Amino acid sequence: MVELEQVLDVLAESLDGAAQIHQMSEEAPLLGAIPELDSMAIVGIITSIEERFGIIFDDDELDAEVFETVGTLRNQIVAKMEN
Amino acid sequence: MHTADFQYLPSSQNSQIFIAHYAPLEQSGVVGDVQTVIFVPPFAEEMNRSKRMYVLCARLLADAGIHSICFDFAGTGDSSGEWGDFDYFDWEKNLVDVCQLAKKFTSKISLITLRDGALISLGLMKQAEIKLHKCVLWDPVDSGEVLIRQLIRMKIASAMAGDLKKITTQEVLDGIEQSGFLEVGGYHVTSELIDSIKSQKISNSIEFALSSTELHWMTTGKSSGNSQQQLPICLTKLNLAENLLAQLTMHSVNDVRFWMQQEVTISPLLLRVTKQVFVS
Repeated sequence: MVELEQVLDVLAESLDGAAQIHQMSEEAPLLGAIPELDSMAIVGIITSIEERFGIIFDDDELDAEVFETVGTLRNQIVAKMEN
Repeated sequence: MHTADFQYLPSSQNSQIFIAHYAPLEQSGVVGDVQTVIFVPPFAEEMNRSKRMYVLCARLLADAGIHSICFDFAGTGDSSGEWGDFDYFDWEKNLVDVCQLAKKFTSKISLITLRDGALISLGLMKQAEIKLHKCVLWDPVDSGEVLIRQLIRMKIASAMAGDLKKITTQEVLDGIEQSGFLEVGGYHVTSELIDSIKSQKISNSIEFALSSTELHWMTTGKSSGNSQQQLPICLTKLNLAENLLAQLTMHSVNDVRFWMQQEVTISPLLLRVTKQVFVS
């Protein structure tokens, strides 16, 4: 099981300037809503997730839908861990 | 405030390497041997995001009585030449030339690196049999393969963040094949540069580094905690001898990954932990 708090920890680590990450809900939008979420931050988040959860993303699995909300990102991590 | 002396140092392919030298303050009361610390820049956008931290750390160490040298590789920052005209081997030559300059001040030379600065530094130490006093690695990239994979991901992520059509890894690789370069974040990374970066691995050079210098491996991250950290996976596979491991200190620094942030960001704890390595 991947807890919401674990996902928010990874986001907070990579988006230091972004306000109130830890208050975000599953429905909170990411791409387009957080100005700090640029390409480098996305790559940093992916790398942190891989290190923390022991999974490897296939680059082609990564698209805007994964980063649509906190919940979609969490779902992708769960799906990878179950595979 | 501590100011630097600026100069240009002739290096490979007639390039002029920009040097900022922070000399120790007269009242710093240095006891024992004088030290020089060279700050080795990382690659592309991470270089831009590291400049502020490097300058702050250089000033901090100079205030403590240590010569500190920041520089830009040829074709980057304030050094002469165009990005793309130089490769990894030119940058290794740049680093050798900066080390030669540092020898004017002292024979006790140390390096501080960020990300892939570790790859070029440790690789060069082994190749040229350079023996350093200390080497501090901030969030090292353990292989060139990883760095290139991150650049390709950044290209894919740029399209994602910019709401552009999704591109695949294969499309990026095909693009490199056709054009001879990878364009990411405004940088043209040529196929030759990609190949030379890919050939770099920390595991190839770590044994020589540990046999000749005191190595500090620092990993940052807000949720990391401040305790001693486990050996990185790339090193656990090597079965390093105990006498070599004794030269390696792992630091898990509970501070922001400044080089990943869009805005210029400072990691005060990383500065403090780094200073402690040189000033006890």
